[in-house]
Amino acid sequence: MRKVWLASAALLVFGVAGCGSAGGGSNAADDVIRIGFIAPTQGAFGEIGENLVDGARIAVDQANAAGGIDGRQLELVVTDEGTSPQTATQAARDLVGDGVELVGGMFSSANCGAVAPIIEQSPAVLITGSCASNEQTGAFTGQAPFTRTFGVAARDRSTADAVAEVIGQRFPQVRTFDVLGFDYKWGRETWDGFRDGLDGGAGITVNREQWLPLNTTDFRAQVSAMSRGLAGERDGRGVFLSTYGAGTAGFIQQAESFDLPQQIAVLANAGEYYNVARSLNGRAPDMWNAYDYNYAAFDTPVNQEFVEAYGAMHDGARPVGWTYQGYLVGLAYTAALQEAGTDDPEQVRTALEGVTFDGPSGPVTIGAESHQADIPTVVSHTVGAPDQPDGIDVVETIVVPYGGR
Amino acid sequence: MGEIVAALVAGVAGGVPLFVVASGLTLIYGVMRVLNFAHGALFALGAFVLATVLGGAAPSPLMLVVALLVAAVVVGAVGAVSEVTIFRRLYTRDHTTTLLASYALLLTLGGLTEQIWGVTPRSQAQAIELAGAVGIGGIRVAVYDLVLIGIGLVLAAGLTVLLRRSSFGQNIRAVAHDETMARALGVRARRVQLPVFVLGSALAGLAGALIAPLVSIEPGLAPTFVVQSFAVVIIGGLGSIPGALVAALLIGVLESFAVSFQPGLVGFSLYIGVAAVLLLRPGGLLSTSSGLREA
Repeated sequence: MRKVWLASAALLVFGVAGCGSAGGGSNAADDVIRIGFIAPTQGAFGEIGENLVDGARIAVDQANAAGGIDGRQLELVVTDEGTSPQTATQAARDLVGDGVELVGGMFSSANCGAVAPIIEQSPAVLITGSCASNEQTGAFTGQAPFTRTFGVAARDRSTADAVAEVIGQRFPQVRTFDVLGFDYKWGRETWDGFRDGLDGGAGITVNREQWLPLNTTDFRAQVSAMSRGLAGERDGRGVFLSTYGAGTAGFIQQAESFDLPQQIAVLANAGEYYNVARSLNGRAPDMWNAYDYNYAAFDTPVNQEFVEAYGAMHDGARPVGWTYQGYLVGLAYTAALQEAGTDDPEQVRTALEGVTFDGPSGPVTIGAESHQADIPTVVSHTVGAPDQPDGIDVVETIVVPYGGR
Repeated sequence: MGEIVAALVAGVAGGVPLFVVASGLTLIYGVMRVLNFAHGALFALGAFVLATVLGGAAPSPLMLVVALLVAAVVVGAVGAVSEVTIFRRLYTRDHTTTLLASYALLLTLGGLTEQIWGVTPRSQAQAIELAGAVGIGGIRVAVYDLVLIGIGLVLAAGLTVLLRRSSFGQNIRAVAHDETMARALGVRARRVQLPVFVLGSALAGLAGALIAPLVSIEPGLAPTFVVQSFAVVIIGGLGSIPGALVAALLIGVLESFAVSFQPGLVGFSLYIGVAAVLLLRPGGLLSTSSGLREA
């Protein structure tokens, strides 16, 4: 009995991290066009969801302020993505079941991978926000795997290629890398892309590869081991982080204890990082990061309007990549709805194929065959600066043009 | 040799916060037989309280100590409210009921934390005097790791003295061993249960506060550490504080050695330990029939 009790407790305990919830629904009147938006609204990924929703809300508010779509206002119906493919698919089913057939958002590639087939079997359309796995659109094959799913985020391979290109040019002497990453598809794909992007991997020495379970926050053993292997070789050494969010922040804080950033020539990563640097209150290290967006990268009226709108919502704070992705979802739907002249999902789907709209980076086109938005990738060189906005000095941004099909 | 010593130090330091949080968990289980799922939320609460008290800026060591104590006291108070309003009513119920109640409390505290502090991650700067690393015998050791090891030793000794040498400790062990007999002998169980729950909760808060300068302080802290602390309790033996100490250090050292010498096993030592113990010694490494009896 004691064994059964212990085993049950263990099972329950190890299941806790995967639990979540879904919900949704809307009672909107018929004279509004409802756009369902799926995003994690609570827990560890709550900040990401909040940013995605903020971006979409800015686009919807701008469209409504401009008169809506043929006089009809847009309404955002937000529902919780949760933390698993099960909760995400339930959220999608809830929206479609409630008649909300224009769906957007989502954070996790695994969740998008689970929801896309559900959407494919329905009359609905999906524009994914942050999901960036290479196979989700036809960015590299030319042919979208799903007829009803579109993607606005740069693919993992694009961000990895971009950071590799810039690091290869700026730090040609760095030939030895340590890598620390989350052991799942995104983490591995990003590192593989970065390594292959540096001269096709030729001449690169990988000193130590460390792959950790997703959401690991204690890296002291890894930092200690990494630090021991770096002594006296600063100019030729680099560290690549295939982590994100709390993982990246935790690593940086623990690395400070060993002065690790001072022992290497370059610290690089791919994926959203601005929020991490902001959370470090001016103590962020010198970092080279590639992702879809940096507020300082684009000198366009749309970007200026976007940054101002977000700042007005959050006391002058700057939008991050997730906000940008949510914004692109809203802009894409607005443009497709205007082109279709109706909210019939089939006609909106057709309009999305090849639609062009003005985004913060300039004109954006969603490939008619690939279903992939041709957005550039931004490589940002940042360092913590307590006296700068958000505690971050954006030293330089390099815009790498879209490289897909 | 230097590599082994450095890995050992990093592993022991990594195990200390686990020990602190798991000792509270196991203490509560040992006396009340409550497997408190909300312990992870109390841990996260400790980190949030410390960051709020210090405001994210680098504190002096004295201010850090004050903030650690404040975090422990605040979380202990939350534990007291939980005991009086929820768990006290459930001590005579079956395990499933208390498990569900504590899980509900975990979700409630998580939601309250998000309401108070939001979902945006924050960080807490290290005290300048405790930042950086020092060279010891040819290896570099993080100063804060040494502090953590020191605090762990003090807490382990303090808990041992409390349980073995004080009359309160005697009462704790009596209630843990046989509550009915203890009552018959004049021990007022209620006067033991509430302080134990408060102490256990305060330890969770202290552990969260201790680790705050090293992690991103955000809602995801709770599930991360509740899993690890339960694993420590399962490996060490439910209700055994020496078991929690041994298991926490074992997990920390195993993980650190995996990093240094067998990277393929990184992240799995926790699960390997739990699986091995459940198979070979289901009661845990240092289990006794009544847990705290041998504390």
